[in-house]
Amino acid sequence: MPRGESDHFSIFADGIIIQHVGAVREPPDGVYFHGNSKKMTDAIGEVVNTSTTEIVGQCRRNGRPPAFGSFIQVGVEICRIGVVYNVETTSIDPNRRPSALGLSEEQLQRSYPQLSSLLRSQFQALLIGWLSDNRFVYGLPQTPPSLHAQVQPCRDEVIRCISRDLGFLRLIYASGKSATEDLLLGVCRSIIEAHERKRTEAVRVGKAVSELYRDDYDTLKRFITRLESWL
Amino acid sequence: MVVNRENHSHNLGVITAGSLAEGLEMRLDPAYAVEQVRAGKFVVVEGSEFDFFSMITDVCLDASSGAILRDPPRRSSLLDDVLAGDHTYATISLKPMLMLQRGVAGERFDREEHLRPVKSIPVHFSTVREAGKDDVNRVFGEESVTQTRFFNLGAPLDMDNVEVCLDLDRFIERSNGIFGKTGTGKTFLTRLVLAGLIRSHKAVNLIFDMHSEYGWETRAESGPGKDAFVKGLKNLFPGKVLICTLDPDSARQRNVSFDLEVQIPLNEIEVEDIAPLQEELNLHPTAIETAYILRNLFKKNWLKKLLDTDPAEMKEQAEQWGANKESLAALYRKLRAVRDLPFVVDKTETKAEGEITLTASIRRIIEELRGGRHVDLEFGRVSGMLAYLLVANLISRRIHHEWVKDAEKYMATQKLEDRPRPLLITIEEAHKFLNPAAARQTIFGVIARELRKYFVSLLVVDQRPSGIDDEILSQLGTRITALLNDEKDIQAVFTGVSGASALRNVLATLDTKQQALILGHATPMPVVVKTRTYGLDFYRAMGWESKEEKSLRLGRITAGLPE
Repeated sequence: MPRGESDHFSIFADGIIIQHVGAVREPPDGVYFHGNSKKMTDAIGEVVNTSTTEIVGQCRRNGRPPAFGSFIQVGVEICRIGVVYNVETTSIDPNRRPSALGLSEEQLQRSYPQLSSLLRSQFQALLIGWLSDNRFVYGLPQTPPSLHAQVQPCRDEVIRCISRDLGFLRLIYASGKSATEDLLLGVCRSIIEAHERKRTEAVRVGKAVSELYRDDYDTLKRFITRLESWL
Repeated sequence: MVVNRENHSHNLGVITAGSLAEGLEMRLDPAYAVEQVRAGKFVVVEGSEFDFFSMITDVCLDASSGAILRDPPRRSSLLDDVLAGDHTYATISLKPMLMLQRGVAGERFDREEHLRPVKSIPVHFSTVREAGKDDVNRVFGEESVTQTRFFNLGAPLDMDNVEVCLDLDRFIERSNGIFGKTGTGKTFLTRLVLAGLIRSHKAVNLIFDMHSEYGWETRAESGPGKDAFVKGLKNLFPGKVLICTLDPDSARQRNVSFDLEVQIPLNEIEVEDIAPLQEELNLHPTAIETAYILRNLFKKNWLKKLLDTDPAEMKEQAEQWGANKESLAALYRKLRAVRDLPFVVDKTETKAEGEITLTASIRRIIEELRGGRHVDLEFGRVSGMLAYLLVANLISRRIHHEWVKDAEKYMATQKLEDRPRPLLITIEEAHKFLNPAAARQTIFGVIARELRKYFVSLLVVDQRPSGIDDEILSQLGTRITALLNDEKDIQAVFTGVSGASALRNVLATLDTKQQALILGHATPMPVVVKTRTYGLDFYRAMGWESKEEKSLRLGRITAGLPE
């Protein structure tokens, strides 16, 4: 299938596939777009739930949800930085649960063109710090981002600025979120992608992660091997 | 990694542990490859108040967890790179040798006052850096500044164009040793040191040159100029070195000249000259007693009388002289070997150029030495151990005797002009003279023990230091040691040196060529050097000039131009 012509779809935990009719079209292997944020500097969503530790953002209609492990920024005066640790698409009406229809993608699009209007995509992001005078300070912000504030993906130069000091990885490691290892892996990927010398950056990031798994060599080895396979 | 090794230094790591007794442990900086770190390297630990001049004695691989070692990463994988330096790292053992108050530099710096033995250790996480040229100069002095006191012996490991100098003033204060197994460059080292001494005028040298390799040109056995001929001391310092020979034929065949032929008349050999040969001649102690009986009877002619005896009449003679028959017969048989030596003559001979008695030869040697000339006694083809032991012991005893008299005179008058010149006697195969049995009988044992009380000291050259008496080894001031492999020899070299265990590794890992460990009185701290190349640059540094250069210089003088 030519790039950009497929429909965007989500896989729910119970295995049901729901197609995002009318969503931005991306190849199926990039379910969540990971990468060249230069193309998408515009807001990707809006804060619908906020706290000093994390936010919930709702994607714009027809907008593309951010990738798991990607960096987002919220706010203008105080620009808080977060990493996306969960993305989900659900029905707008909590009383109407989606059920399996048993149709192919084409049939689904033909039979239920209104489906995209009935679904919403939300993402949750862990706050890891804020930008102050073009400098990144890691830690939890004193005040939460405003509700309905616009959420933007971080540009590569911002990611490079954030990742100068990788101390924030420990915040993610200690956040207690499920699949922390995969979240860290996603964050590491985002960092490495924003740099030109990928191997050098991978070693640097790997060394920072190795501090987190200092007492667990097996996990560290698995982590680094997965990171390497992706390089 | 390119590191400017002359003045700018690179941080090697930080101190993580240590004790005064065991030395310091350094964690190697991850940016530094462990293979770049070599035992013997000279480094500086920057403590909070003191700089500690130290030597790398051991390099060790370590890991933060046993799990890594049980399941090692693939070479050059990302995991390997990630772990390197942080989880898998190298620890370096350092031996601090000297400490120096930080910030003392320039004119305020006085080597004697500020360089102190290590009595403390640096604070946690002090940085360690490679020593620079300034550090080496501060510790070892600079040849160019005070030319006669310091003599450049070579460069520290990995630091070309930096000089490690021997403090010649201190060098001549004690007896010294040059050790190394065969083929590691002992002869070159010795010639280097002797050249330095001759140039400095600090002491006069008497060299018992067993293989005739110090005086005139000899062939280089290895190195870049293998098989080329290198200049001897006489070539470099023609006016300052006197060549004596025991074998004029050899000198003639080699087409080299000599200044004095030494012969030894039988009637000048004393029992004390024979006693040290016990082991070499396999003499029984009773044989020496018999020799004393003969000496009492016949005074100076005892040996001639003994050797002139008809073996058939030995029994009667023994009864007549009151000696044991077997002992007398054994003494006769063994000492015949002495008479067979080509330079041993029956009586004083008169030759065309004058009388050649031992007394006359020795008088000449002593005069030359007193006058500040250096004497190289070549053995030519008579290089057997018996000849060497006999001659070296015999001549040294007489010269030592004179020096003792001179020293006593100086003590009486206390006038500076009466002060004897310090004399350094170079002996090879020293374990033959200085083994525990011989050391008590040869004059060299006495010299080594007396230190410089009488202004005579030894330069002991040997490949088997374990054969030398411990008591004498412990009195050696400076030891210059090329590679030694034998455990016993290594142990012997460090006799009387505190904290030797750390240096053992360094010694055992020296290169076979052009590397030596110097430790002792003449250097403030032990150091490994890549020894100076004995070639044209060295000759020039010693003041030698080629014929063309000389005639050019003389031409300029004649023309009234500056040299």
